Parts: sequence; C-alpha cells; structure tokens
Amino acid sequence: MRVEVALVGAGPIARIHLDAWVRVGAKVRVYADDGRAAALAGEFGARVAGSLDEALDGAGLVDICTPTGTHPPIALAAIAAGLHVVCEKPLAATTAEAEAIAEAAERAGVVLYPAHGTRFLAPYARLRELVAAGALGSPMAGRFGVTAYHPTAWTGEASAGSGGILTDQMLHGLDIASWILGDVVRVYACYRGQVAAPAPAGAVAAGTAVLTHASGAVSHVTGGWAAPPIPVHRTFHVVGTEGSASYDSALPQELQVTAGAAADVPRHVGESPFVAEIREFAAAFAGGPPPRVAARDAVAAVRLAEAAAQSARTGHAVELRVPEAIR
Amino acid sequence: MRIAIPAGGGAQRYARWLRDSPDVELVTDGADAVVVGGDPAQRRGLVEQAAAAGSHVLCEPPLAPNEADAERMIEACSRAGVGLTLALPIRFSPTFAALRRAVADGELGRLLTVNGTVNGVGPGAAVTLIDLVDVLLDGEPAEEVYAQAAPGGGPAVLMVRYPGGTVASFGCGWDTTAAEFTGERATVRYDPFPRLLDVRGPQDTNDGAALDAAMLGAFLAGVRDGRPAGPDGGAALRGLRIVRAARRSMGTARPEPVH
Repeated sequence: MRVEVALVGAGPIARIHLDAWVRVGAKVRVYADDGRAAALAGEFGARVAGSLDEALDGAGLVDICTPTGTHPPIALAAIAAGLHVVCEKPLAATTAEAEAIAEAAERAGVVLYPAHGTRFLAPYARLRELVAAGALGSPMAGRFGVTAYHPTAWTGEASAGSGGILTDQMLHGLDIASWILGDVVRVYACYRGQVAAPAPAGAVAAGTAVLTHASGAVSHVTGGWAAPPIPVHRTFHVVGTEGSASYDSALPQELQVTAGAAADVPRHVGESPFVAEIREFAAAFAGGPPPRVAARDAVAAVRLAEAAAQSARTGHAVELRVPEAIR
Repeated sequence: MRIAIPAGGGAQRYARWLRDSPDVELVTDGADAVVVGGDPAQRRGLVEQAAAAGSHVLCEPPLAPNEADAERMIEACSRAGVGLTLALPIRFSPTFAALRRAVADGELGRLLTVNGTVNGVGPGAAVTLIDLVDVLLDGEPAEEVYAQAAPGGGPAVLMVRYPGGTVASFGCGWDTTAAEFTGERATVRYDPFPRLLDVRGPQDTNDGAALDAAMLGAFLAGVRDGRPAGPDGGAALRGLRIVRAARRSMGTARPEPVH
C-alpha cells in the first residue's frame, strides 16, 4: 500500500490496528497525546509523530483509535486536511456528531470507514453471505447476544441515560441486526446494572433491545458486561421464510484445549478478523471494491444506540425514520 | 388415589404415567383430582364441575381463554377448598429448584435481567418462562410489557418490566426452551431440556417425559396432603395478564400496562 497511515491513539485497539496495517504492508506513523506512542511505534518499526498536525501532514489516511469523545475533532481535522478516515466504533457519542463527520467527509470527497469489527468475524460474515444469497429466504426474526467481562475500570464520565458502558458493546449487536435484517424503524430497550461510568473493573450491566425492522422483521438483541470469570460469549439465531442459521461461540471450535493449560494453542487458524478488516479497507483505498461497512452504517449504528439509550431512559419505544443513504 | 382425565380433555399424554403409577386409579367420577386440558373455552366448565365435586385440579396452560373465566375458576376452587394447579412441568424440575435456592441464597446477587427463548408459537407460549420469573420474584406482578412479532406468525419478543427493577425478555417461536438469569454477581442459564443423547430416528424421544413425571409426582403428593403445590390460580392469572398486555402492545407498538 503506497499511502501512509496516520494512526492516532496508542491503546489496546491501536496496537491491534497497527499490527494489522504492518501486516498488510502499510507505512504507519503513530501519534498519541498520552506519551505511549513511542513505545508502541518502536515495537512495530513505525514512525512517531510529535503532534496531530505532524501526523496528518502528508499522510493519505488517518486511523482513529482514541476514546470516543475525541473522534469528532480528530476526524474533522483529518478530513479538512484531505485525508481518508478509518475510525474505531462508535464513530461518535451522538448522532449529531456522527452525521457531522459523515457529511464533512462527503463534502471533502474523502471516504470514511468505521471499524465495525464484528462484521469481520467468520460466523457473522458467513451469516451475511447466506442471507445475501437468499439461503434463508426473507429473514423474519433474529436473536443476537454478546456477553463478556470488562477487565479494566471504566474511566471518564457517562450517565446511565446515555447508555453508559453498554453503548459501545450493544453497538455491535445493533449493527449486526441492521446488517442482516435491514434498517430499523422502532427500538425499545432496557438497561440494568452498573450502566453509568466511571465504573469498576468487572462492572455488571445488561442491555436488552427489541428492534422492529422496516421489513417487519423483529430482532431481540442482548448485550452485557458480566461477572468474571467468563469468556466472551456470542450467539445468534436468524430465521427466514426458507431456513435458519444459528451460532454459539460456546460450541466446540476448530481447536479446543480440553485439559491442562496450553496457552499457545490457537482456537482459530488463519487471518484474524482485525487483519481481514484492515486488509479490506486497504484494498478499498487502493481502488478495490468498497468494504462491507460504510459511513452510513456508522451513523445508523450511533443513531440506533442513541435511540436505545433514549428508550431505556424514558421507558417508551422510539420510532426511527428509515435513514436516507448518505452516499 | 383416584384421578380423572375427562374424555376429550386433551390431557391424555399424562394417562400412561398415571396408569403406571402404583397408587393411582384412573376413574371417571368421584376423583380426588381431575386433569383438565383440551379446548381452553371448555376448561372453565370442567374446572367448576371438578371443584363442585371436591376434586383438586391440574389444568393445562392457558388456564382460560380470558381473565374473567380464570377469575371464576379460581373463585370456584377457592370456595370448594380444592387446589388449582397449572401444568407447567419445567418449574417442577429439581434443577429449577436448585436455581431457585441459589437465587434465594443470594448467589446471583440482585436479579437484573432474564432472557429466554420458548419452543412454542405466539406470546402465550411464554407463560412457561413467565412462571419461572414469577417464582423467583415471589409472585411480584409485572408492571409493563412491550412486544413485537414478525409477520406471518413468525417469532415474537416480549419484554416485561417488574416494579422491583427486573427486566425479562422472552423470544417465542424458537427451537429451544431455555432462559439465562443475570444477577449482579453471576449469570446462570437454565436448560430444562438439556441434550443428553443426540438421537436421530423416526421415534419421538419424548424429552419432556422426566419433567412431566416430576410435575405429576409433585401434584399427586400435594393432593395426598390436601394442598397441591406449584403454579396456582394467582400465578396463572398473572401470566395471562402479561400475555394479554403483550398482545395489546403488538397492536399499539407501545409498552402496555399489565394491570
């Protein structure tokens, strides 16, 4: 890949993205305002930028891996400088901010790809292929669940009314449900537990949402941060007029350590979903086909998460207009 | 013990177990207990008749097609001093009893959410899981229900809010009946029909037989003691109200009060 990537942020997600960019052959410069950029860049042989301006100057695209609240200013600065944008989800904390970023990108003629990583996990990608190929007929109903343990404390301020610590996790389920069953016209949700931030490591929170899609199909989305110890547990089940498909990550995968502690045995062999994601973005930037996730999906997911939080706060179902395509 | 299963009552699936039970005699009248099933519209008559004859009643769900009938049936049984039990086998499982104890002992912490699926069509099928939540919440009446259904009799989702803060959601029309209970300290999944054997063949494996037996055993023990245990008329009525609110919500696309 010829263009140079300005990676902003040096946390766990930035590390995963940097590793993926290096694997697909990109040249990367790293900038972070928390003093961690040098160590991360050094590990992968990337260059360090001393400021955001320096990072953006002459780069072809920016990859934003910072906390959600900082996405809008960084994205808007990059767009103003003519860079294409990859942004970790959620694109922004509010629909208004997400729309502003998407509109700015469109006006500037740059592309915006949100890193909705779950779309690149093999079972979800396969589900999408099945549905797109008509193997299930018309999808009528879906269930999507994710439960995991959050190992670090939640810093920052987020009210329970904003969806708090659930928003970023439920965003995946809401995005996947829309991807598989189409645009959502109505959402009803309940959030329980320690939803507001700051919250301690291992905080328990559970979200439940009922989505009504424009087609009339219905989704039941659950997401939660659960009590440790717990492996990430993902499930889905989709039924259509002609068939159904289900997945449960607790079922045996290709490789499973069934006794003893063998740390180096992978559960899956092959490209990680993050590398697949970055590879697809890199190919699109190089003139290849558009990736499976676009700016409008990022805005739609933020809108949906915001509507779910509003429903949970007010106890009412929230009606959504079918979003017009952004581009 | 004398048990009657009215002809055409639709509860014949219990007859074999009862016939094999050493201390049970299947009779047509003068019964200690009557097992009622079949057309829900006929159940009120059968239950009132049984109560008038002094027989305890085990009734298939739903107890009645509407709340008015259910209230009369409860009243009739209460006046006659006989028990009225709803036939919901999974709540009689020793496994559920263990879960109930764990919840009562605080092992899960405060119950935040319940998410379940039901192998049965329409919101009425959810009563079997609604009843489990009813047990864990000590009969707390639900406050509000939101429900949506896929077109053409496809799956339906119910979300039920209880005043104490618990939220329960039930997906109907799936291939499994199971529920996950999330508390502040732990999450436990209850699978009433765990897959013990993967049987492929023409024979119906009758996975529910053990739970039917547990239910009938508990019911007969209650009849013997004169006070049948299990989901009583009140629990049945609370379930009917939730299902009625769910049906209303499907029409209005708004959460509906349960009372």
